[in-house]
Amino acid sequence: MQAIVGAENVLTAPADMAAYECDGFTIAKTKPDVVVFPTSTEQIVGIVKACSELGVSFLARGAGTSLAGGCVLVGGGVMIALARMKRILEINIRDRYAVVEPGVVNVWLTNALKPFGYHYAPDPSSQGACTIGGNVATNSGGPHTLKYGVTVNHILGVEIVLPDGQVVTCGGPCEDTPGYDLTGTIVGSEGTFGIVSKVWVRLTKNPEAYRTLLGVFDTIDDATNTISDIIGAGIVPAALELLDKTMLSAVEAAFKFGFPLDAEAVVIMEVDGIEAGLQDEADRIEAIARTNKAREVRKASTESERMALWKARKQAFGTIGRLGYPSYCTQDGVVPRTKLPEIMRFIMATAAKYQLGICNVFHAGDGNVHPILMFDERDPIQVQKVLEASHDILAECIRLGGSVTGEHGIGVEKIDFMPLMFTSADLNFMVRLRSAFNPEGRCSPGKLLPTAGGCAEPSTVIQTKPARRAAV
Amino acid sequence: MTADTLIIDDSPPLPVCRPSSTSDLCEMVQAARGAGQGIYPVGGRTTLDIGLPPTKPGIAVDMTALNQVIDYPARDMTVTVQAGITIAALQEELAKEGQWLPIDVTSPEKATLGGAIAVNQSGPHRYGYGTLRDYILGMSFVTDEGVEVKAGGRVVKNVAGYDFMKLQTGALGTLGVITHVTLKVKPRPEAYALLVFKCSQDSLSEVLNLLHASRSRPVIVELLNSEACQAGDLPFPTSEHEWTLAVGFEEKETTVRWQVMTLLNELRTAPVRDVAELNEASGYWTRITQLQTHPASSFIGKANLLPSQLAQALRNKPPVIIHAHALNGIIWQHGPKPVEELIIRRCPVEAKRTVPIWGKPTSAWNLMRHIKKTLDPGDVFNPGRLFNSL
Repeated sequence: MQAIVGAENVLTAPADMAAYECDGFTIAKTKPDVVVFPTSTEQIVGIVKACSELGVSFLARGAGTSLAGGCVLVGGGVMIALARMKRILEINIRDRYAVVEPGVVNVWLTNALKPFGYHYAPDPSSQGACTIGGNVATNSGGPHTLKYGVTVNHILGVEIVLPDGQVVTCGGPCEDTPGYDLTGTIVGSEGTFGIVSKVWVRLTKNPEAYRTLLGVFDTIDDATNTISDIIGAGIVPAALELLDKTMLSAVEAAFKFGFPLDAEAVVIMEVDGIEAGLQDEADRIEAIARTNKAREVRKASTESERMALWKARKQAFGTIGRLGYPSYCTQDGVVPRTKLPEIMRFIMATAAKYQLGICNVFHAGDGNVHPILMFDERDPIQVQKVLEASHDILAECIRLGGSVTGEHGIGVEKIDFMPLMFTSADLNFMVRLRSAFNPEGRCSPGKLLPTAGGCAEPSTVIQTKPARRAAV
Repeated sequence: MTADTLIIDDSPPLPVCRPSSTSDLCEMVQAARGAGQGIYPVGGRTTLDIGLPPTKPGIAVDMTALNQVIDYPARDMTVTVQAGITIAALQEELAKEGQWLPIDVTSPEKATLGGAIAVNQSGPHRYGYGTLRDYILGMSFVTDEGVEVKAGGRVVKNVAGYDFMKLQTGALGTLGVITHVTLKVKPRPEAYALLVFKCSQDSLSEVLNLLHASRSRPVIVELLNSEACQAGDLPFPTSEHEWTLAVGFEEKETTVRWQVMTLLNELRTAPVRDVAELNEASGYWTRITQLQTHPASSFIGKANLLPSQLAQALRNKPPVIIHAHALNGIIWQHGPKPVEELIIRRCPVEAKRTVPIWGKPTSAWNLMRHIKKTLDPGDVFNPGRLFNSL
């Protein structure tokens, strides 16, 4: 590895490995054997070929903000950290695209685009840290995906290093590349197809104006009914984000925004677009909130008030420490939007059943819930409760017609749910697709599919539970 | 089985089978695979020109009997249907709830959703709304083993498992037969507006730059030459060597009116003439879309360029039908004879054997072949139609 990337770009000391043993899903931990920091596609090719010759597993890592254990190198091996491939290679406003290396942090691109009045639309809450390469791996969402779509809707092309060292360019800045949509297939494959070494992204013109409202509700039902009614009325807001009472108390303790601490829920409701007609849309939303017994509807009247509201939303996770638990696990279920009231009641009942602290901050407009289960990871009983409560909530999401992950990915965390969502025939076909890219299963092993890798029958390796093993 | 047969390009007559259930279809695939034959899935048979000639005997599988709406929870803005539903029937169902799928498809009364996905149809609305890949949330399809598998789901956000919806979109039916599709749908816009005007070739680049930078936010920017206006029977045709630009707005009434006013103001000092607002918006876009399969053209090709290169690329074109999704960089060029380097959508079958119909080959094609070989090793689905030889 040192011959390929230079000694200064290789870490091997056990203490250094500790920083790479897990991501935001702290329940699953495995130390890599070595961490390398390539700075070019050629170096990635060299690393991957060396791994292939030696029969060693490898995994690409961005900023390690995955909440599903996507950055856990199951079974050890070579961690390919892409944080030093962080150049924005091209910005082309007239043709509405940019070319970036995978280690570019999401918000850097949007910051670079500010002078032009454009932005990169997918905006995960972790956008200040997470990388575009990581976003491509997990097909990340964010608050504004409600109107603008998720990562895959904004990716025009990728350059990928396949596990055998081949470099393939899929798509690119021109639309409608003939043949299979390899780009769309690679986005969201959680690094199991290869290592994306360059990304062509679509740029989006900034909206001319915004209206950002904060609905304050005495019950969660009133809040979720408001969301359901807004969508049902044919309004497409830019974002609809719900924060519950527990979450509000943490955010308030950290930022002192003046949120009402006795409210059961607040909903950030944003519409954007052309100034003409925007106020009408905001008024309709306010009326819907009031019909659903909103106690109060506040309005951000300046850009700084709007930014403050979004800061509260996007940095909410960072304030959870205020609630006094050393660890938390963020879940990522999806239900049809009209089922939000049901799933929220279920989540609160689950918290009571397991006597767990759960707070909620999520993309309500998409039906994408993020219950945050708070615990102490040093206590195996609490860890077990978190796993069981998560299981109950996600199983209920499936029962309501939804999914176990809207934007975080399956990773190692949710592998056991795949057979609940998909038949063995479905999973077998997924295994076949993976084998087209990654026949030996050495690239990001133990992820996404309940098989160790290669072409094994899914059922034969269902017992492989890295997350559980690491946890208990 | 019926006595019906279908000829694709210069294939021998293929017996047409019309499954009445998914299990029927599965049996047909298993039988074909066992016999070393091909399965040629067809819907409304509106875009059979696209692709290379079949290389194996087999059967045409007519999907039009599998055309039911399975689930339409309108308040969730999603719909699940069988893939044999026609685009017109789907849009009619959605219209009952004030919703639509903002994708342009040729001959919508005949074309099926499955077929539109297989050839990845799109038209003028793609500038503002994107393409089919942006609307497919979930999908079931029958694999080479004759089993139905699914991917995705029925909710608007879902990243569980691999995205076969993307892989199947534009795959020309070479990776399986699409049976069910879940779509994300949109509320119908409250108001529409259509502005047309003309400009010279020399001014085209400047005018397109203006439209790109406009404070208005058009959802459509189409470009047509006089031959295209004539072929599409479009009002306000241009004279020779002039371009017609057609700009569409779809939004709330007040927002649309403001955008029309704004663009009219911006155009006041621009090198354009005959600016007019037409009031028959939907018919106009439908006729432009229909040009993609214009019956009188024996050759139809497509170029996909950077939008900024479009004006230059349109210089010194022969007097043939040309239309473009101008701000997407996509040009449609018709004519009597195939033009190399274009992505060919229709041409005489002899030419398909001599001209590379998918444009310049790239390194990605090797990976595509490998995926096809892995997912359909017996070459059951549309053999020969995407890849020259396996």
